[in-house]
Amino acid sequence: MSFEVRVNDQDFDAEPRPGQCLRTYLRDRGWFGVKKGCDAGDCGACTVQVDGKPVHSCIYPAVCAEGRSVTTVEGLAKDGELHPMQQKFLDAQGFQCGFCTAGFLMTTSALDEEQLTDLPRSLKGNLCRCTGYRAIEDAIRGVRHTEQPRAGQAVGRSLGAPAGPQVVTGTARYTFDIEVEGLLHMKLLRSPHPHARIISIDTSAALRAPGVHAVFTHHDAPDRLYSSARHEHPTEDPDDTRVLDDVVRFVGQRVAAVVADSEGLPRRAAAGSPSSTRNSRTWSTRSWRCCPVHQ
Amino acid sequence: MDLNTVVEVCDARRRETWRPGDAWLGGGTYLFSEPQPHIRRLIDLSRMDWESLTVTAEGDLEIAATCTIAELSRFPKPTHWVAGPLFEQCCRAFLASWKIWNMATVGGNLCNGLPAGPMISLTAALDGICLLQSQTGAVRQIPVADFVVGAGVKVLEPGELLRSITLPARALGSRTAFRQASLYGLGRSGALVIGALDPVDGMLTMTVTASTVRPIRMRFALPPNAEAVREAVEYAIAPDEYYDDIHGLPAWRRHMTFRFAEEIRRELTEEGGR
Repeated sequence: MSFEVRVNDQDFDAEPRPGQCLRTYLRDRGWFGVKKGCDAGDCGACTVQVDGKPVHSCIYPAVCAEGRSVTTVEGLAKDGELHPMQQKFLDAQGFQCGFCTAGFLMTTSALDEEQLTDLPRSLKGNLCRCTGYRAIEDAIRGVRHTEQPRAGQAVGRSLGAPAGPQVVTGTARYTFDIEVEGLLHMKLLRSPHPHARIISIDTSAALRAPGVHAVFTHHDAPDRLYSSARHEHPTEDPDDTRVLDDVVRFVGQRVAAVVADSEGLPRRAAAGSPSSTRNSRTWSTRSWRCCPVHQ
Repeated sequence: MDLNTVVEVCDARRRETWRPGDAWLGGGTYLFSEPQPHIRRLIDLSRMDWESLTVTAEGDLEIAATCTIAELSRFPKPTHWVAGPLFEQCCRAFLASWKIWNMATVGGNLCNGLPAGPMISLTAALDGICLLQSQTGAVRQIPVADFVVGAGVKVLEPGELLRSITLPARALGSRTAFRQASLYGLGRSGALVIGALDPVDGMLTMTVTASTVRPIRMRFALPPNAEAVREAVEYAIAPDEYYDDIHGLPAWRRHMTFRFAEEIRRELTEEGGR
């Protein structure tokens, strides 16, 4: 099956993985302006336009982009000219950290006149955790806050953030916005029990899975406790837990860590098929056994 | 999010044998919003090219399962569809952003079967009929109100496909009243009641969704008084059928249901009602 997609006027033919969303497909191609926020379709940080229509790329199946034209924030400016909305976000400084800005730009640049009259509704798919939205609304309404004082007159004046131009063009770099050669991924196997002691862990099956580099368990963790409830003073809370412990005290506590070539691999390696046997009060997956305490 | 356990995307047109771990892929807006560790194959419906919205010779509206919310919202409603405004009211009852409307499908909303699914509210209130198609090609029809039988529970058999939903012309001619409540502005529906007045015999039908685990309908052959509506709601909805989750306590949902039912009664049956 051949796959073709146009992203910001460049053609790509790398076939997406089955089950891949458009967000990771785009970031895998180096379009780091597309941000990962909630990864569930709520926050809008990953908004891109597909054939001109804004969508949340984290819940857009990458295969559905076949034959379509995708615009990310990096493609919003044309011929070196900022899109008017990019300029307005700069003028009003409609951002603080700027992480949500790409999503706001890809959304607001697609709003029609009617949608502009009802911003709370039009922007309910975009979350900003810094600004309180006032500066964002100002940007959309064309309010200008920044000043360009003459040299020597800048003190006390409203200057734009130095990184502003990078923020509105999607070229500012945030955590993970970097290609790392040989990058590995780690997934945690977590406890389904509120309190249990691990009797044994068999990592051999996980280690045999192709692409898996390492599996860490309490056997590999330093025999040193830290406090999982640290307050201001180190003496107030007991050191209670090892990084990977042989006792788990809450549902979701990490039990093992699987390191592999891709994010998908360790998940499959770590996925056991839980089955509880009531009589022996043991719980097992393919990879570990434990004895629940206080159950 | 990436669904890393998915190993294959199949074009639904190839009609491959249904296996455990298969799931129909509509717009993907729900499937890709949560981990789906049980899914191995996505059977992609996006290339079926079903006509999204068709007005039949009888004047019924046939909505393909793959019709997006955006298409349904944009579709011009003829003036003789007195129920026309209900479409946009229900589209706007989505918690999801309008951007999601570009991919989310009407069929997907029904098949999720959530109490707050506004396409369930719309199609149940307008006497919608689901056309279901089994793996063998056998088809059956079932009213939307009977299609969803619990919170997230549908009558679909494994591999069975929701092909379309048909809204009869007569229901489209109904005068309707719409009430929706949420714990916060533009939020997820905690109670949603729709009244529809039959254009031929004047029967009033009220459809309760969001506050209940499944769509619940009440019919009044004659214009009811307040007491009759109160009794009908009391009788139709068992105490344990009020939904209980983070979006509203059952007691509040119950309260809003009674209140909306009475407001709708006044709006549709009393002189001076809108």
